Amino acid sequence: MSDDTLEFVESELADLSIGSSEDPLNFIDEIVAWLHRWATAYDVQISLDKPAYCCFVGCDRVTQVADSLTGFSLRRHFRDDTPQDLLGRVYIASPTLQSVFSREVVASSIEDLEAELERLGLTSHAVVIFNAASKLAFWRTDAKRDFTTIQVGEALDDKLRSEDFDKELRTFYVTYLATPQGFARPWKNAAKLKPKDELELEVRNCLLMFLRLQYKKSLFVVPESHESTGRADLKVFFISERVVYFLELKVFRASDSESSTLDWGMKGVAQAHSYRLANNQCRVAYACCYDARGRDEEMTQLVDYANTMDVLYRRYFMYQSSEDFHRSFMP
Amino acid sequence: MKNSFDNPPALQPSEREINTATARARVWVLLAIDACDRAGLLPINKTRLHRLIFLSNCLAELYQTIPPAKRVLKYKRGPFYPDVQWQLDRLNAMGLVNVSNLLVAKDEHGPWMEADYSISETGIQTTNIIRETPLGKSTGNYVDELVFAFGRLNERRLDDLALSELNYAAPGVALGALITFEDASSNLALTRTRDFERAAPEVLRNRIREKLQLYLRYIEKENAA
Repeated sequence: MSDDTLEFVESELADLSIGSSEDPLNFIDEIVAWLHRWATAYDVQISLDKPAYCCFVGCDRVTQVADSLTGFSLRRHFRDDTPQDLLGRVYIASPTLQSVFSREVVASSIEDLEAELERLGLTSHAVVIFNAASKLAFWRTDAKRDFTTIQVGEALDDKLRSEDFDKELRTFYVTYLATPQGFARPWKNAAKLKPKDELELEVRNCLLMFLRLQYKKSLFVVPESHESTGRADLKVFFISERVVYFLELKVFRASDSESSTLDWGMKGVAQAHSYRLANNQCRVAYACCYDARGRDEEMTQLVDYANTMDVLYRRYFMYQSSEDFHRSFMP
Repeated sequence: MKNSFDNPPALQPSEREINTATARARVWVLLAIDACDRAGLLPINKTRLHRLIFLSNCLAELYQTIPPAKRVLKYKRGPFYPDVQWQLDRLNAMGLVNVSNLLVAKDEHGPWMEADYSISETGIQTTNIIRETPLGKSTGNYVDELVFAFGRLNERRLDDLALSELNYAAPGVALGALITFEDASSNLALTRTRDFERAAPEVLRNRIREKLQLYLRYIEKENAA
């Protein structure tokens, strides 16, 4: 194996697709990366009389879909292009972005675009809505899920060192999950302590997209990584350091008893430990627990168990309001 | 074993039109066109389609799939399979594949027929049924991954990518030479994917999808150089 091969692999790893060909996250990832490029190229203020939104819909057999709808025209070379006239349009695209069609739309909010998708019969698809004024992209993989948010167009860090990963997990928590307004929109009903259904999956997807965009060159992040001891929620490879971390993600719910929650947390620790056991190269295993129980209390038995297993257990408390979050810093 | 892509089948009066090898080849071609449709690559022109089939033959062993063609001549127009053409014509006659922009012309290499192919509604229904069979499932998984990885490359490189494929562009392989994939140990594409795994075993061991993507990106870079 030559140095060239090593250099090539290291340069390409972070950019490989997330999942198998039919995984809608690939489409979301393509669009988010594309929008980031666009937002970086056109770093301009959007005046109030100009359209600020556009919307992307991922479609299998997009040509047939475009033929069945009125007003959509082919946008040639879209994948490798950075068109100025992006906004004020609905785009329907193949998962690879090799075929993209668009038509104009008048929309001044996400709700307007959702109504347009309803009219077009496209609600069941993977969707990304982009607000160029705030440079926020709102995405969902299918109609069953709410939109989650990602910031694009900001200067990205080239490299993340493994020693700084803990800080990055904290940043993710604060941005996505600490409050009901967090980018993951984590609660179904915060007042009643009801987090979203399948929140673990949402957290995994959000963290995956966050790390992929933020560290496009230095991290290779694999969801649902098949290891000999089971499937890890996330496997993170720090490319230049050649270090592997495993992450197991859990949500603590108020509806579960204390013993069930403890058992759930210990299971997360044990899973993280088992993935590391199966991988000689892995030094660090994390059990990240997002705590929606409504009381910010540590479980000492769980902390002790994680310490015994040498697993980095992190509990991130999900506040029921921004006010509660603010007050948590006060004496 | 006879490879069905090697020569166009010349039917004898008593011979059946289809046997296991031709059925396998026909399924492979139809699934490739279907995957191109879902990846937004249709209509696909004849040259690009033959080259895509060539790439699918190079890497089939990675997915432990039996490629329908293990041999191809290094042809002046790039990888070309007479039998794929035969299968395409049959699929068109069966109403599963549509042909458009048919053009017969003479260029610097001689007479040539160019055409664009797309899948018909009946073709889509047929592939849905084929994908439920063991052959359709295993072939379909591989062909889908290959076509979608191909579709994520730079559009400008797609037509000529196969010409930079390591087996095809290997030094000493002259026009008219036979390129074979019968011996996996001499398949340079597989050798290179093993190199990729050695470069990052922590994340590439048993990750065939990633190795496939890396190989296509590798020859894309070679093509751009």
